[in-house]
Amino acid sequence: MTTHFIGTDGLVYAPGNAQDVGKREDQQDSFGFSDPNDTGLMAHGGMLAIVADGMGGMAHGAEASQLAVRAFLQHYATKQIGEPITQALGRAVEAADRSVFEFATSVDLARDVGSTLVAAAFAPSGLYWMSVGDSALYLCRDGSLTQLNHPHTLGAKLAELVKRGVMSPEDAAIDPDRDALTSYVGAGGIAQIDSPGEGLAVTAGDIVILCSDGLYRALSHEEIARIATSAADAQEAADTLIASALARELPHQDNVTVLCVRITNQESK
Amino acid sequence: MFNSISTSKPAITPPAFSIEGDFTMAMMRCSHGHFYDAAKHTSCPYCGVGADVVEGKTRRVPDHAAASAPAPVAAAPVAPQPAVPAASADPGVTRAVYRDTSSGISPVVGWLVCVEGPDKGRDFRIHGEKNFIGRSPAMDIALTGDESVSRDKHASVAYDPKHRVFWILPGEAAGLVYLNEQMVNTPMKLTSRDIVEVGKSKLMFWPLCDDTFHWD
Repeated sequence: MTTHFIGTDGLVYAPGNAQDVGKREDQQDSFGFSDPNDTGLMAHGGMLAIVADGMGGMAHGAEASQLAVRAFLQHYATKQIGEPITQALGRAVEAADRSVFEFATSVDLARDVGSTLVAAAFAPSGLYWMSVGDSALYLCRDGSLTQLNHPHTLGAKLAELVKRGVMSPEDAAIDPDRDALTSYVGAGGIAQIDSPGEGLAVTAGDIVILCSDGLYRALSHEEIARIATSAADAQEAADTLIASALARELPHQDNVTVLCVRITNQESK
Repeated sequence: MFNSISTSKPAITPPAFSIEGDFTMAMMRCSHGHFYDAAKHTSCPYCGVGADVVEGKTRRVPDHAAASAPAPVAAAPVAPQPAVPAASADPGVTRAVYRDTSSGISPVVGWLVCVEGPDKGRDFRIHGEKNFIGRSPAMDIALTGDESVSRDKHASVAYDPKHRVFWILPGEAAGLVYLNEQMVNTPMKLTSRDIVEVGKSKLMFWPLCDDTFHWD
């Protein structure tokens, strides 16, 4: 991929994206990047990347995630130069929640239709994110993978109970609801959000990955890191990650969406 | 309909972000924000419905199941599942859970009910110890509809389980909090049907725990 976004800090951000329906009948994941021609927004809000994984039967999940992505991109794009990035991300996620909630209410499926959402803003002051649900944001640095956001699943809550000694690890591991979401957009109010107060400093060589759960349920962190690191560019990384997940031939392979952003120095690209 | 990525000469000192590409691959960004290779696709492969032929192989936009395996996908969840590990009813499907994991840890001890303001009619649970009130969805008591409430920690309500009393405390944010029309500067005790006012919202306090009922 030879499309790049160049930051004031001299870093070059190269995006890539790929998606597959997996073994589902329909694609309920949505994604998007902000408009690179909007140079005003780029200057203070940076490049925005977003993945949303819809829930709710049939077409409703797809519609929910599309609405979430659209509302988020639209509202982040209205960010003014003086508005803090964290505040703009907060506005955008509230708008996404409202948009999906209105849709869910209109089809009489409030509380049954919703979407996860993970958005990353690659700004001059660092990497910011807004996450609701179980879609993942990874930083791949020096060949190893770190998850930046905290998943909102019952499993994550049960892990806390295990840590406090209230629940046994065995009981937590076999809970049939452990993958179910404890927070999502579209409920008309968001139970939990994950967003840093300050930007995370990124550096040349870093690869940032946003994905739906279809990726990390098929591939281990080590595999994701190895594939992303060995790819020639961000688009190849995204394509190879999808292909590797599908190659597992999991009987219930979910929709899978991967966005990669590779960061390099201007001279080394 | 599509915004093409400009193929300008390399920027020297870009004022902010700029975009460049080369002439060998025409990267396009569709109106939904997806990037794709315009040399391979006539329209965005992530927006279209149906198959899109890519250099001799078919890139599936929907339906992976039909292409790879004839039928057994749908039958799998019906088959008896092994006891351990327990599987979800439909593995891999994104869904929410409404189970209250806090039970046994931090049970509800009272409520605030919005009686005036944008969230009128909504009730908010009060749990043990401090409960922060604010507009952010991350707050314990999140008045998301009231723009005049501070995002973070406008005020807090605390339950003291040792003495079974409730307190209203001023927050760290700029906004003021009133208890029965009186400004809250220091912690003040709450009693049943007290009115807490933050921003444009009035919240009626309802205790569950007192001397006659408590969890411990």
